[in-house]
Amino acid sequence: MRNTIIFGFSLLITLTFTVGCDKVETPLPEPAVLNLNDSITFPTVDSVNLNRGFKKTYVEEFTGHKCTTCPANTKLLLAQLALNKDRMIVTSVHAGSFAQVDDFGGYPTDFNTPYGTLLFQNFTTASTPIPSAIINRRSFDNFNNLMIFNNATTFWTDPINFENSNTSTDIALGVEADFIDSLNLFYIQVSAEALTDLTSTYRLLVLCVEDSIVAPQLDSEADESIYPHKIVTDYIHSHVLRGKLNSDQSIAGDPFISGTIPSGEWLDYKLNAEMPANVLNKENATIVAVIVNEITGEVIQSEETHVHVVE
Amino acid sequence: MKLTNLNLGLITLFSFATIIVSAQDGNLLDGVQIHGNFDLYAQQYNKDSIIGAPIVPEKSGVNAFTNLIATKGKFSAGVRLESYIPPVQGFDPRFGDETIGVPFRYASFKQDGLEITVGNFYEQFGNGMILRSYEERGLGLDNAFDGARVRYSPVKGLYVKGLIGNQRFYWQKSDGIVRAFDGEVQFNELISKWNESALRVSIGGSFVSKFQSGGTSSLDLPENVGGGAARFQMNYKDFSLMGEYAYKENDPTKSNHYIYKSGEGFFASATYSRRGFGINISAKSIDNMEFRSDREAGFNDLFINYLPALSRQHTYSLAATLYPYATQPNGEIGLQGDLIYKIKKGSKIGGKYGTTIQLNVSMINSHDREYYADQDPDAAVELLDQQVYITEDQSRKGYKANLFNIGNEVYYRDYNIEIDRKFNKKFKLKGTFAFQEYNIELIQNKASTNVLARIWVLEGLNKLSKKHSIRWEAQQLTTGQDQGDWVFGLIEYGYSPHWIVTVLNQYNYGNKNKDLRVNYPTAQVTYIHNANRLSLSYGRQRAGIFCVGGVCRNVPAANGITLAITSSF
Repeated sequence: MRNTIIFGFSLLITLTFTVGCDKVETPLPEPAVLNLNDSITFPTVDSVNLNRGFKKTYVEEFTGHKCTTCPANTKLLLAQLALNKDRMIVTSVHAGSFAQVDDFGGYPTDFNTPYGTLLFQNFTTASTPIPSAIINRRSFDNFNNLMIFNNATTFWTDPINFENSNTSTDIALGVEADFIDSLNLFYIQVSAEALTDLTSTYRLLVLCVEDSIVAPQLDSEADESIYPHKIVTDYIHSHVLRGKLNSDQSIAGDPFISGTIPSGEWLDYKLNAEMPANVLNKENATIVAVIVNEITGEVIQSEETHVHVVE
Repeated sequence: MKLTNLNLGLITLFSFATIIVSAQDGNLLDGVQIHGNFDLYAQQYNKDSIIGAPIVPEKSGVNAFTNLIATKGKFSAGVRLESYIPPVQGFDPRFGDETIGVPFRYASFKQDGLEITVGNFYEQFGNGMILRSYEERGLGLDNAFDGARVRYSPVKGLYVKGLIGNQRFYWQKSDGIVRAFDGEVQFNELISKWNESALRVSIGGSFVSKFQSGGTSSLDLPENVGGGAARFQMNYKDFSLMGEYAYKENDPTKSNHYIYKSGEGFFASATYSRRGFGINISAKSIDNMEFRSDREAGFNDLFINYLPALSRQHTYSLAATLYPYATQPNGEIGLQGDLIYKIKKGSKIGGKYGTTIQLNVSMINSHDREYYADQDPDAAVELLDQQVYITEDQSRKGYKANLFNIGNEVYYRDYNIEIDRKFNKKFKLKGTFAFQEYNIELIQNKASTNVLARIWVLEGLNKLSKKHSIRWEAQQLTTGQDQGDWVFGLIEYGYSPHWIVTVLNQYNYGNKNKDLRVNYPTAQVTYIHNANRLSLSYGRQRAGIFCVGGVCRNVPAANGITLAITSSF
């Protein structure tokens, strides 16, 4: 008996010591040193033709390649986008359990990003159905004060249409992005014009999104005779979030506006960043710029531009 | 993680009921002993905006609990029912997440030096610098483990303990898992030749590890954080000496701004005492030694360890609740000295019954720190909070500090003297003076220079007859900072053995804001009968801080009736 107890204790002590402590030497990875070339100029934003008439509708769709109902709902979202392509911006955020990589199950592609996971955790709970979407990161009092939309509550089509019908904006926004292939470096210029006196605090989010990625997707509507187990192996994923280019760790981006900015004042923001390593085809990359009210968390304007690749 | 699913509680209660009934029937479980206690603390609240009493929609708060413990031979089991309908003001509202429940239940078995406990339990290793779970009801603090614990003594003088569990977090459990063991050798028991030696020596060592998932932070967070402690104690005749050193590996938490610096703690105490004279000197230094089972936890939640206090716990109202010191687990260095001397009875100065003089000094300062990110500590902390990569501090240690380098910032000073003298069989007098310097900005987060307070207390006890007595207190606190000067008066009539009637008042006569020069009168009646105690009071309660052993909670102002019942069986 005594030997058994002593053996048990020795095992416990050994186990405790063995699992006891993780030593972390570099908690934050050193920021990549960018090979800037001073002779390269940032692109210019066409200040004359900026959208000054309305707030664009920024839709963040939470999805995943193992989500069987996602393709049908995404199809509806893309159809709505096609009809309102000048008024809407869509980013597909792959995160959560439906986005987990499953090599054996037939889902080898990792669409997850640290920023996407952070965003997903911020806006969803364990009981939030997927797919879901948030629209300009605000709640709608005419839709039961909902902030996140899905088939279980209110589908996103009507709130998006409502948001698309707005006819004013506090800020005009423009973004241009050159990608210098030889340096693996973005030169991004964001310009904004205050259309009213701005008194709150705003942040600017700059994201890299990739379109037309071919990778497996579970689809409840797939023909099983062609796609066994309803896994569409040549599914085309649209507007996939590839990463956040700002250095700030928050979901709202870098500080952009604080204090009082009078109507008519211009603000410029320049950013150099590397192309996220997960981008498969740089020709399909898009840069999305989003201005977020830091106090309310609401998106007040967004804009996107196709990346101009400089060989 | 939910702590008290109702079924578990009901099963435990049902098991208990079975034991009790069986015991009463005199059947299978003959000889089972049931004991426990009950405690109820209730307050009724009236509106009183002038003292800043919060408006309580329910107009009342009730904290109640009962412990039931059954023992028979080698076995024991217990449950504690707690109820908060809703919690009394000043206790965390999360206690009100459930109105009644069973947050504590355990079963234990002891045989041949082996003791096994499954369920909830409290534990302490050494001084607690690396592990202490305990309950302090007055603080609303309960960090009990829920898991399993084994204690074993293979030979006399050698004691080992091991445990694993989650900690209580109001009505839930912490996400973090704690694993720990401790060993202690009592040489005078282990070595038979030393059994009768005047020199008594023991040593001990502990290792504690917590696990918590790293989550999605941009930082590479250590999921397993380990710490250890070593201690010794020796006694030789009238002299005793003890010391403990604790170390904790990188443990980035919300309260230390997610730095990866290791933590260290040192505590030593030397005491000499003989009849009529005692002296104690204690020293402590702790740096980044806050150890919790959840890195996001704040306030008094989920502490794995306890850092011994180095300040006197005053009992008189003005000294105890206006500027009491709260231990700063992220770093402090301090020294405390206590001296007690009894002037012999019958001597000229000592009088017929003798006079006791007690001197106490506490001094606590910051550490001398050198931050990597910026020379200005506030700017450095801001950069750490922003999680900016700092080239000079790639491993994110935050700052450099030596455990024994004293910084310039005064956290606390308390110089106090107490003289206690019995003049005759019917009259006893005690006088106290304390001078305190208190870093109110650090401890109470109030923008101010350090508070300098002088406190005078005179307490008398007049025995009118065998059954009747009068106790009275007169207190004054003067300070040029914070709320200014206070006076306090109390008269207590005792009718032995059952009744005590108390009337007291405190008055903030020196408040710079004349509107806040307010009286806080209270009247209280207490009835005691055997193990039952019931007290009922009505009056104003001043906002203050209640501390036990350097751990504190805020007590909000209140106006109303208070009922307290305690009973044990």
